[in-house]
Amino acid sequence: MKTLVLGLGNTILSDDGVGIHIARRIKEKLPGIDVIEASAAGFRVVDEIIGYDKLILIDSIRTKNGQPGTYYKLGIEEFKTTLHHSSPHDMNMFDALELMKKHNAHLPKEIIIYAIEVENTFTFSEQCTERVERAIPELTALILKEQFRHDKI
Amino acid sequence: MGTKVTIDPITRLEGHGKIEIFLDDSGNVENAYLQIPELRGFEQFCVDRPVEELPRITPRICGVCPMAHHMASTKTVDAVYNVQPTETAKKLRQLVYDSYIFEDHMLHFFFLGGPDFVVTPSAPKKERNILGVIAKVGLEIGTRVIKTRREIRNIVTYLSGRIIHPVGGLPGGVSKGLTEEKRQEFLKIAIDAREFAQESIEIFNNIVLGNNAYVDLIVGDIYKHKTYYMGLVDENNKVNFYDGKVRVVDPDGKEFVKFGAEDYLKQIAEHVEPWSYMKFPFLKSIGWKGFKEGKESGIFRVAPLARLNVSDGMATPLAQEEYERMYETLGGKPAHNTLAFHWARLIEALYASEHIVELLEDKTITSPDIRNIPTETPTEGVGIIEAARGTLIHHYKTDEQGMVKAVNLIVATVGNSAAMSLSIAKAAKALIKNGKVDDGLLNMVEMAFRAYDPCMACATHSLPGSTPLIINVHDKDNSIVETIRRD
Repeated sequence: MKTLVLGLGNTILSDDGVGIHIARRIKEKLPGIDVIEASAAGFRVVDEIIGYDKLILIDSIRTKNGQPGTYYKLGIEEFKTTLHHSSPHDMNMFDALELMKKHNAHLPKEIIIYAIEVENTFTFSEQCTERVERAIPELTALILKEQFRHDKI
Repeated sequence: MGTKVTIDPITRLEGHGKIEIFLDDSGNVENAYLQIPELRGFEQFCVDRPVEELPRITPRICGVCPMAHHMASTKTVDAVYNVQPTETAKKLRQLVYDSYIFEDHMLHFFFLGGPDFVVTPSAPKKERNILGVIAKVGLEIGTRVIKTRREIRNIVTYLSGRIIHPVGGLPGGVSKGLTEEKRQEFLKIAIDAREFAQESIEIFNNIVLGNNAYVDLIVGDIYKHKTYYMGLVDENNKVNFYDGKVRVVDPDGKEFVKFGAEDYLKQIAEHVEPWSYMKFPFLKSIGWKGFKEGKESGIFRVAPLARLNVSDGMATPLAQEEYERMYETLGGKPAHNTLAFHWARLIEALYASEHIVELLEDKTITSPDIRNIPTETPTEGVGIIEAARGTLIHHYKTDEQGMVKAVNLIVATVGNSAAMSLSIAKAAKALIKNGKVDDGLLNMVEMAFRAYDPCMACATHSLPGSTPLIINVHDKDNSIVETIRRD
């Protein structure tokens, strides 16, 4: 089974880059797996995942009253709640996936989303805020363990 | 104090951008504005980095049009080092850039603007999406869009590395050339893309122009503004995305000014409002006269229709034919019809595909002479390019070591910020009467907004979020009395 780890976000916009930071750590631990990082949305994200059987997507999220650094494991049905899946001039990722399915594209049958609550996505910086920074090794370890049965951090 | 109607397009990113509509005491629209919060610290982020890193950093500003920033930045770094790319490098840059424009415009027409245009304007909400578009145009066309985009994107990927984070541009040239084998392969793709661009215009003719309801909207007053227009033109005043001079025409279509990149600060100033972090560019010599259209107001528009309005035509034959037909249908030049941005976008896509074919038919494009090595001490430079969404300006200053000391960007969506507010106000005025908010407001305002293909990611220097549209109708005490929402 062909698996892709996709880190979404922007590494120069503080916490926005958290998904990519985690994806990079996973790649360090497991150099053999496919990892892509993307600062993109909607249709442009779907372009990246064609041809894979399983997708592990890591992204930032902001929910009402959510505490920065908290992380969640989500299913495809909750797609619309994360930050990067659609944009003002783009379709959301869910619609893009539906469209590609209609055209018989080889899309992942299994999609797992890990999302971290973020605090600051408005300031240009390569550093995440403290609480988000602390969550990075924790969530990296969790994903390695849950998805790759890899316990050594 | 009157009533306030709020349309919040990106509520999940708190405070990330919204449309404010202010009503007067009798419940009619007084004005409407687009509000964007600020992203902080881009200049500080860039300062003291080597300037040649900016073509790799600036594409990260925006997840939607990284190529536009990459190319604008590459051209700016050329200017900073006072080095010109070789002829072959210029051709390769244009090949990549036209491919980006083609791919972006086609995506917008079919999948993003399509729900407004291909599905009828009054279609139920559940059909106003991409699946509704496919139901209308047929699965085969959908497959064609996906296939053509993928193939054209392969050209960009080959020459620029990853499409999302391009690395092809270097001061004085490009990092990778084209082999004869690849030239032949890409030429086939380009010929196919050109054919598809023509078919897409046919689809527009049949579905949009063949429907009186659409034609009425396009030519109707709700979506019309008499403004100045701005765009790059070549030495023959033909549309050019990559290079040339910036030409501005007045609302009567007469050339107002033509200037080179280095003079942008003499021609463009930015108005600031206390209620928005987004700036409102205007023509300096006319001045800021408020959110007003007409010759007396310095507001201008950029992007596809503006580019066609400032030009004397298209540099390729098929696009020129369509250019003439569009102006004939719309009653002459300049066309002030905001919804004609969609039409102009298709004509530009056709031009881009024809130009890609021309570039690839030229065997000299495979020359290995792809870079002039910079030899001068870096100082300051301005680079201007036409992004899919309008004129994009980068301006850098460095010290003698080439370390960045100052950065200024005027991004494409911001170029249309004042005009977008005008358009939203006009649509709102037509649909809100005596405090009664028409149910069609959401669709109509969205259509005004979407014709410009605005990129909040760029405008705020942020990445895009999701886009539910919310209209909150506030009474005089500022309490919400009605909410309309589309997710």
